[in-house]
Amino acid sequence: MIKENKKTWDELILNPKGLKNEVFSGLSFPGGVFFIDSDTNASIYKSTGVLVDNKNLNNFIKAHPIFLFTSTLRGSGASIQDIFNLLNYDVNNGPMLGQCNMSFKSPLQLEKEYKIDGKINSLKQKISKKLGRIKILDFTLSMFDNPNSPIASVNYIWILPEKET
Amino acid sequence: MDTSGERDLMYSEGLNLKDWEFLVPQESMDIWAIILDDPNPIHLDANAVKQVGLGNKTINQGPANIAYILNMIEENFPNSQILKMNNKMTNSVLQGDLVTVSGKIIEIKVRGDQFIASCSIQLTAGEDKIAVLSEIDVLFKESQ
Repeated sequence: MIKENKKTWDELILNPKGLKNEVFSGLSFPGGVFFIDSDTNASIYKSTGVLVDNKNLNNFIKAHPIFLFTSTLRGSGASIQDIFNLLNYDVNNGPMLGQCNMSFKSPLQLEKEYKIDGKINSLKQKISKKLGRIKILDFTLSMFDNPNSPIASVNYIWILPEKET
Repeated sequence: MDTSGERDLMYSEGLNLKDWEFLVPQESMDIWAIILDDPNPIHLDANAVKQVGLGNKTINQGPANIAYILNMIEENFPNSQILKMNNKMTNSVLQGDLVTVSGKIIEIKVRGDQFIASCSIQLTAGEDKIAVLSEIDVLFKESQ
């Protein structure tokens, strides 16, 4: 039996309709870079109720650890909407973040660019008592400041409710 | 174990950490939609929430809820470093909810001249709706 070569993200997005769940297992994200800037850092602190002023100087010089989320989701080469487009998933069905597991080897720095890479681990169909038919999307993204090893990684588990047809 | 000695600050296993609170406004969700480049209408439009049968208030983004927990950790462990954080989302946080982040130290280990505190944290929305459960390892140094 001849094993079909796995298609890349760029190849799959050209025709995302009718793709089987198994196609996404091990699929690498396009990859990209993300620059952690001070203004966004300040927005994160302010929008989460933390003062950013002369009395809280740490908030000016430290990158909020939540940048692991924002950097990987924004810098992976595929936005959240892009991921849903690839899965041919209607965002109006109300996707939800179920779990996220983060690890850091060192703190994230402001005014620094990081390389982002990762892959989809699996996409599985399930029946939820509360939500009915759902898909579970599992993917991992990592941040690199050198090519050799990631300084931080995050594993996401998304719950994708499906409308009854 | 605990980190007491001749210092004023002491962390100990079983210690309840200081709570952290935040009232979630729609403006914050609007900012997070931009930060995350996430157009999901359930964060921005109450009508969209109704249409998918998830209630009648906009729903806070998951990363924002995790950011609240990180703020609570930073307040309890100033100048610390997160090593590991496992989060399970169990419920939604809605626009107008008062969130409370609370928790305690489960274990403390020594690492060189620093300590690692393993903490069990929960984020509660309103009176008793647990929205996030987190297990966090924090690397910190006792302040002199």
